Amino acid sequence: MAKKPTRSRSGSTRRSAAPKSRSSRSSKARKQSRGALWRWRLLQLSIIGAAVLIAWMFYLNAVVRERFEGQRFTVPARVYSEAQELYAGAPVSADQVESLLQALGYRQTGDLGQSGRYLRRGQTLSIHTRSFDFWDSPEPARRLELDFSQGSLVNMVTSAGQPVLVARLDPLFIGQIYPGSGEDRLLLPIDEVPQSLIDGLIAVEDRRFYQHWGISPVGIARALWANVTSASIAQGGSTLTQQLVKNMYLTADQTLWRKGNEALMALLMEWHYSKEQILEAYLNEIYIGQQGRRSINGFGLGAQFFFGSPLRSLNIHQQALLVGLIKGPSYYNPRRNPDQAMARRNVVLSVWREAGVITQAEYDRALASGLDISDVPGDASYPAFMDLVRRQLDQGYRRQDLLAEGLTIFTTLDPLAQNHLETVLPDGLAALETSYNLNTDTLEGAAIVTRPSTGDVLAITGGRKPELAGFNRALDARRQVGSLMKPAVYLAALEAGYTLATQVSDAPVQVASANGDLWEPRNFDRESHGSPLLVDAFSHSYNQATARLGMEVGLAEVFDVIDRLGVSERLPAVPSVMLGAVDLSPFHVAQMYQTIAGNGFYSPLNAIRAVVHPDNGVLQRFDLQVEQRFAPEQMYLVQEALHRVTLEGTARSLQWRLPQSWWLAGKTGTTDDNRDAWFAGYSSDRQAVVWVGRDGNEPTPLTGSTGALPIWADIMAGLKPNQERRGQPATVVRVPVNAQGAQVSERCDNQRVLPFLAGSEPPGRRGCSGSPDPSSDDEGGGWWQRLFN
Amino acid sequence: MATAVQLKYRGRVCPFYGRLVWVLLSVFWFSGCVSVPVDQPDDPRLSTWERKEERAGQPIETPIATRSSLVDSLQRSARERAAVGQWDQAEALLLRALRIEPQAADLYLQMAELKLRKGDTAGATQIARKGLTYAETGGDLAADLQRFVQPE
Repeated sequence: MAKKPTRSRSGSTRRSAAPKSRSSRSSKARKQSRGALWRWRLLQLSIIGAAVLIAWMFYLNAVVRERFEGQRFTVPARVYSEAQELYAGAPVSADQVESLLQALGYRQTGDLGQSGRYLRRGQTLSIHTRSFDFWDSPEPARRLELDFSQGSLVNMVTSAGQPVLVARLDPLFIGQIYPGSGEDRLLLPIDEVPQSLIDGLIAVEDRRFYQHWGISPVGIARALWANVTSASIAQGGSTLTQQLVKNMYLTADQTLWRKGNEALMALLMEWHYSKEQILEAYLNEIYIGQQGRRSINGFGLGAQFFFGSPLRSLNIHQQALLVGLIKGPSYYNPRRNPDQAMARRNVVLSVWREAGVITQAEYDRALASGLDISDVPGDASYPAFMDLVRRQLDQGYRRQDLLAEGLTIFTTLDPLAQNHLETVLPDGLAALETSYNLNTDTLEGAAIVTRPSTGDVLAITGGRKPELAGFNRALDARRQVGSLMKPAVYLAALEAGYTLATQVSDAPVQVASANGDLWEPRNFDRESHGSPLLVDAFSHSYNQATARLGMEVGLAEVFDVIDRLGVSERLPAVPSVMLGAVDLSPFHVAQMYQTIAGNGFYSPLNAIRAVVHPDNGVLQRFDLQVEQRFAPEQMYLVQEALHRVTLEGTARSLQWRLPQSWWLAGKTGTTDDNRDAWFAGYSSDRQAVVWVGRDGNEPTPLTGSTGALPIWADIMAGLKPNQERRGQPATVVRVPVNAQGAQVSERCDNQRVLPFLAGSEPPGRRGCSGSPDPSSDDEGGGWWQRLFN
Repeated sequence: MATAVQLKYRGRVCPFYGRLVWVLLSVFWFSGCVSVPVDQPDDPRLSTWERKEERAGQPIETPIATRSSLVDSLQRSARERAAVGQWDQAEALLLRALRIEPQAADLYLQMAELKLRKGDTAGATQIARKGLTYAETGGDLAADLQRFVQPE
């Protein structure tokens, strides 16, 4: 605009005055016209801009209101354990029931007039149970007299002496969760938050909180000045309201667009809600820590997480640390960076003193205090199990259902089994460290207990510190499983027509893979064992024989069996998978062995029994799912082979670790350099999987037999599975065989009776040595033995 | 004051109070209640259990000699719930029983029947197949379970 007249003037110096005058008028008119046009365009733009801004404000307004009100009044889902069934014959002791009553908060007293009370006299328990609305039916409160003997409940009557068939104790409340999100918090109303923390928060984060309308020009100017003078972004000008907006709705991006939205939303929030409401939301929402995938939000949960105490019981120095964490939860994490955390806390304390939040004496005391945090993150009960519940809710339930408020979630957790597991695993690992002269706390472990008949997960622990909510090894530790994979090879062989008495070569074997690599598995003892029977190769866990067998049967067939057993992971198509060179979690292994314990029927492992909406009733409930994946007869043979492992194979120490009358089946697993020790097995309707190793995958001196098995045995000893065993299928016959797998007389020495599918048993009866002459004297030890038989 | 009484007749309940109700009862007795068709042993709508009861002419108390009275009780309650169409509650009761006696084949039979009534034929077949792994070979129970595996 400025240059054109200049050019015009220079270009018209030799023209006459009249045209010059006309030209000047015309130019002026054009200028006026152009100016009007620009003004008009500006007005149009302003109107459009205002319309867009208004529309955008409407949108932001809706976002602010919806989320804020939803968040502020969200009632978390309450999660309950399985209820303890009481009936004559229930396999629980008086001690176990009493410990459960104590966990449930029952009070021991002679006055049983109110529900929630009990009295223990020797092996008798008098209980006034509480009523409870279960998802399937209500359970009334009642007075019960329970008599126990030898570890089980033998009689149950009312206080009037009337027999009671069955009663359920109220389930154990095990925590609350926000099923729709990965966040965790412990909602607190503002009047339960210490005043010193509120004052201190405002003093540190937003001194003009009660004066501004969501944004603070003074604060922005101060921050700007501080940043300019320090030549860095040293201070933020965000108000508490802006921080809350950022936390609730926006990302942490440092962009103008985000800052603009933040300011608009802060204004809208202040317009809609009182300062107290905003402050309460802030106290419950602000992000102050992270543990794995779990985000720690709000001061209530923060207090529990860092100090293991409720918020209102925190000292000044602890409150100051929590407030200080807001600036950088990761950088000031007191467990990881204690020095930075201490420095930050002290800065906060000095601000509090200057602002008059605390006195000089309080300041001095607080400054002299250590960080005072708990050794381990305090948490709700059973974090590993709760982790599984969260994941299964995410996978199997509709998100809109889960976002409903006040849900009740009934789970499969057996508190007695869980508490037992949480004792046995750490004790077992400590005992191993002592026995093998290992440094303390260097071994890790994970375990899972399930109920094969239904696939219920009864107990789970993700590490030797079960109260920790961190890395859940039971679900997330992917470790090589070693010989735990062998049942798949033998099952494939049985399906292909092999029998338990088929001889297999245990000679050294080499397998060339598609890319030319040579796989040469060796036995654990570095020796070959001739041609053992299939059942012996399995029970002694011979690698060479298994590799040969797998290659004879076919890799595709073995992989198909692995898939049908329930291993949904994508496995590398290499032969070493047959010997367990594949990374699976304890949960995967439990799913795989569940199909074996379930007689060849796949049932998905589940942790949730029902989800109940406060108004709409049961949203979803457990439905027994079974899917036949294998012939029950063939699975019976594999179960027999697994049983032999516990009688004469790598797990034979179970014969003295557990009552000999128990029918047990299981498999050890050990990986290269003893990096992983496994045991997976079951007895009747209880299955357990145990993994022991190191987080860094370093070698250990432990095998499946010496590392995981003792812990498994201790778990089972506490679970006391009732000893029922499925009957033998009609199509299975039992035949005595000798060491070569030939059918012999049952009177022969060293004969063993093995099950066979009818028609697949070894042909004919031979002499005890396997010779074709049945009348030979070596049968049954001679004529005198026959005489007495 | 009249005392509340409940008269159960083939699963149906006829409440009555005092003399007036006795009159009504008579009416019901000769018309309402008895006018409902009595279940026949071969009625395909009946469960295996109910058919057996019909054939026997009286309730059968225990299917297995050694079974616990608790499981019996849960099974009976499950049948009562199923009779009034409360499938979920019936199934929940059976699952409670199964957790106590996980190898009871007759529980699988009852569950298979329940699934079939709910229209889940495939589920009924699978449950019955698993029940067969616990049933005594050649017994009545195995034959009943077999019906779900190979429908007639």
